[in-house]
Amino acid sequence: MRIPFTLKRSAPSSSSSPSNTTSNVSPNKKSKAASAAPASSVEPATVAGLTKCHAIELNGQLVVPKGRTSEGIETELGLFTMEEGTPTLLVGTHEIKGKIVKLKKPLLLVRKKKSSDDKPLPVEAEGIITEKYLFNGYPKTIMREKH
Amino acid sequence: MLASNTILKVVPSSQRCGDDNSDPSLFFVEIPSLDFIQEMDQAADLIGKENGSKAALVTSKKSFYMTKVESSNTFVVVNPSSNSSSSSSSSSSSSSSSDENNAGNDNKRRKVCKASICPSFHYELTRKYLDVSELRRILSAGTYEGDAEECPSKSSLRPTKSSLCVLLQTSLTELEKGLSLVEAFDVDGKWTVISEELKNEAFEEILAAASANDMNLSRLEISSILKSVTGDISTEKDVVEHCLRNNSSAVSPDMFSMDVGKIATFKARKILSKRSTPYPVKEFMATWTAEMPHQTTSYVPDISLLKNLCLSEYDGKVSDDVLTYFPSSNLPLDVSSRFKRLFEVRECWNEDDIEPFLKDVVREDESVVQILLKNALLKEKGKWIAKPAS
Repeated sequence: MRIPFTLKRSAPSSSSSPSNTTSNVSPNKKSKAASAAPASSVEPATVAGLTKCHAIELNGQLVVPKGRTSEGIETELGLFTMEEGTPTLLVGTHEIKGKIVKLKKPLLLVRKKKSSDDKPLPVEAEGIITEKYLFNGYPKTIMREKH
Repeated sequence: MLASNTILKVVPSSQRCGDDNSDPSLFFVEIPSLDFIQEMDQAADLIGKENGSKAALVTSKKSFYMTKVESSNTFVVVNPSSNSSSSSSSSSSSSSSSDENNAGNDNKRRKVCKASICPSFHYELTRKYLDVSELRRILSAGTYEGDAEECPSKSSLRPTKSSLCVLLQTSLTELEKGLSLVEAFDVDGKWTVISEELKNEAFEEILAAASANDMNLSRLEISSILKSVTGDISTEKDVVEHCLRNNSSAVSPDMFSMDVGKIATFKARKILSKRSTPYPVKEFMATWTAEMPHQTTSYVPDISLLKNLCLSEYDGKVSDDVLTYFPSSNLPLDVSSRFKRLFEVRECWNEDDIEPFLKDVVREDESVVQILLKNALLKEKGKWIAKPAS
């Protein structure tokens, strides 16, 4: 059985402002990945034409409260912050400090789709991950103000 | 980089979530480098097998096994292209909205990002090489034995290039290299091999025609050869041309220079296969030289050409080394069966002597020593014996 594997290329940036830094990096050039877009930029950063995704790795398993997945309710995971180059994740009353780890080999984020008659459609790489935020430290319990 | 002060929200899958709440439609594939993306751009497919063995990722030039690597950690992924650029916080979370209302300026700077929980495994790519012996086995199912022997049932056994790529989970480039290696023959877009008998007949007739017409073996024209061959093979023009191409190098599209080494090997095979008793080397060399085409009088055949064609042993009765016909092409394609046969013929092999009989079954990513270590025992340096039966 043969299934095509396609790459979902990001749309090129339409902004004429030089401060919007979305750029495609040619794989033949050994330069680093394109710089991240500022928070207010419309177009996401790309690497080799693929959207650069952000990956967060956590120890253990995330348990989403019952009834929040099958019913289609969005659930807040936590608050991500960066202070002096150290990423921090606040999940409920737990604060976990992490670090940025550059991956030795890039990861493609791939989605497989199924048609209505259950036949497999082409799989598509939606994005690429070149580094991850690794939170493997022991969480610290913090007090949050009640309002 | 993910912006600071980002609220992450899990987007529930519209499909059933995995046991770990992950989105079952997502997975990771680890690629060798960023350059690999350009290769995938040209062509990339996933090829699975019905027997459930490993799937392969195949580009136009290379193929890779996909090996699942599990992890006990959780992966959450934010795909910026599926997120809005809004920097306002959302109040749809389960936490109290007053928390956010009272956060003041900080709250207003928070960005909300939708995230997905990905399965806690990824696929690792390991290089996969074409199994040439398996290719030979598949092609042999519909061996071409001449036009008179052709029938629909034989044709149905012959695969196309596309179906070979799927059967062998290989790229087109690797397949084409393999087809060239096994001297595959194209019959109306389907692939097979020509029978040894027909190949030998074609080669014999090419040499006979070249000799009869005093043609220069370094500059043989296809058209001249096809006009000059006689006998039954003269009706098998494609076979004659195929044989000429596989035993020559191209000087131009229609002109070939025959490989004298291959002519010598062909002649040696013919002489040795007719003899049922061991052949003293001196006697054989004289016969062999005499059998070479007259256009090659300056060429002295080298006994090293016979490494995978016969066994050489000293015979005290004739005070000379003797040769026994033992072609590697007659050995089983299955590796363990081949080793069994080799050790039936000889209990102990020198590495140099056994190597030519293993070249057909050694994969591109392994060496002869590696295959020996898996299938034989090292008795002493450079000498191998059979592994004891387990």
